[in-house]
Amino acid sequence: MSLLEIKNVCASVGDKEILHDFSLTIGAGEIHAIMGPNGTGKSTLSYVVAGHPAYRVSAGSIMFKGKDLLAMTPDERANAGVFLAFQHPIELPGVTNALFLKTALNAKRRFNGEPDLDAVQYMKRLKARATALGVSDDMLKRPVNVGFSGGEKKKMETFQMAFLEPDLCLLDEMDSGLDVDALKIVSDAVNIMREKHRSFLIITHHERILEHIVPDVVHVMIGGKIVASGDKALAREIDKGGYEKYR
Amino acid sequence: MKSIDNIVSLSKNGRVVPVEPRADIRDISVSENEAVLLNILHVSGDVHVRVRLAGAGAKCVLNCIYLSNENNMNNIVLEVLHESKNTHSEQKIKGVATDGGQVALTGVIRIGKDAAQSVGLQHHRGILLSEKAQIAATPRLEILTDDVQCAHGSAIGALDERQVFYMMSRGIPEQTARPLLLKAFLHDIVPDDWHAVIDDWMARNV
Ligand SMILES: Nc1ncnc2c1ncn2[C@@H]1O[C@H](COP(=O)(O)OP(=O)(O)OP(=O)(O)O)[C@@H](O)[C@H]1O
Ligand SMILES: [Mg+2]
Repeated sequence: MSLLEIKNVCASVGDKEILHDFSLTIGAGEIHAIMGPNGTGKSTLSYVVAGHPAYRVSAGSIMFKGKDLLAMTPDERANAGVFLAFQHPIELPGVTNALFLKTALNAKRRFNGEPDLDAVQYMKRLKARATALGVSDDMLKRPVNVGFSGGEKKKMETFQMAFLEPDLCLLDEMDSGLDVDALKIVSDAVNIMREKHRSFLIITHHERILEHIVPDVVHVMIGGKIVASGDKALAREIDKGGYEKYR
Repeated sequence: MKSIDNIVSLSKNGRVVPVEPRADIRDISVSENEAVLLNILHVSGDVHVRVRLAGAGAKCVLNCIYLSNENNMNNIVLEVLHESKNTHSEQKIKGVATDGGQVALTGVIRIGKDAAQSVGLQHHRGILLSEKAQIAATPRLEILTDDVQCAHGSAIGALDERQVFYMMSRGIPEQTARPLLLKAFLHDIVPDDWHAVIDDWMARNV
């Protein structure tokens, strides 16, 4: 069964329709990549899947694990297994990473009818993931994204993802602003998370991340819809020749 | 601080100073080279605090939180009077108004003619949680000498919806996300032992 099935979706923000008759199916365990020019609607797609209230879906359907995703609130979607790593992560002054993740994890547990994790179990899980991603204790004590560099914010998004263990990971330009080493750390984290039940949608402008995380399918998105799909070779072709021939 | 309705709490350097709502002006005097931290938690009624930086080198940090709901009219006047040279003050004022809560805030910085080389700062941020709530902030700067630094800023608006969505995108329900953001907004300028009072108010009003 496919994990995510987007069928003929039209979506707009304000008065402007951005996604036009957009369709995409992602099978469980697959890694898909989307490349496309600026302003083509890639972030819009990720917001629509995550349930951002500013984006209105006027036609089409989105099924996730066989359930109607569009009928669910953003937190329900997250707890059902959707995770969006933001292109521009949001700062939460006064809310520490440790508190944020604890609140998120326990929300998911409650959603699944499980009891809250006790402090000891929680710290154990947090520390294990933090160590793997090189996230220091000091970073965990700091407010979410406040004062973090652009690259550090991306790393923290990956860390949140590894900690929350979602089934569908939407990575919106995860690789932008990352240095070579950080790109390796983030890619490794994704590769470690690769499992039969878990899928990824990697939105990127650069072929380089796809050298580290080898996708099953690469899509080219232009003007709010997918205009070409292929394998890794397509990403290389775009990297060399740009989007001209798809416009 | 058991009941939090009709209360104004004031603490000086961590020790509570008794204040009645609708009391007269509360005067605090800071002497030469003395440093004072004042905390105010204001849930309703009138409060008028006047700080005199009386001696040279006197310093004051004044942190004020207000919480206003439909039963409340919060009238807040904060005055900092720089009366000697090289005196420093910083006012941090934050608050929320929900339902039909009404807040009138007047923040005064007066730098007198004998107060050269002084610094007076004032920052205010108010969050409106309903269409009916109102926050009016009136800063007043009276500067009677040169060679001073004085700055104020005030921002009044709704909770940042991008923050709410970000939290929800991590699985946190809206009814948990909003109070959490508000507590985080307020907690950093109040003493730890007042957090419970704010949290209790949030639980009942947000
Ligand atoms: N709130 C908004 N109001 C009006 N237009 C918007 C709004 N948000 C996005 N848009 C427009 O929607 C279009 C698609 O934006 P989107 O962020 O999805 O592009 P993108 O493909 O992610 O681009 P990039 O590669 O630069 O990140 C853009 O033209 C953008 O200006
Ligand atoms: Mg984008």
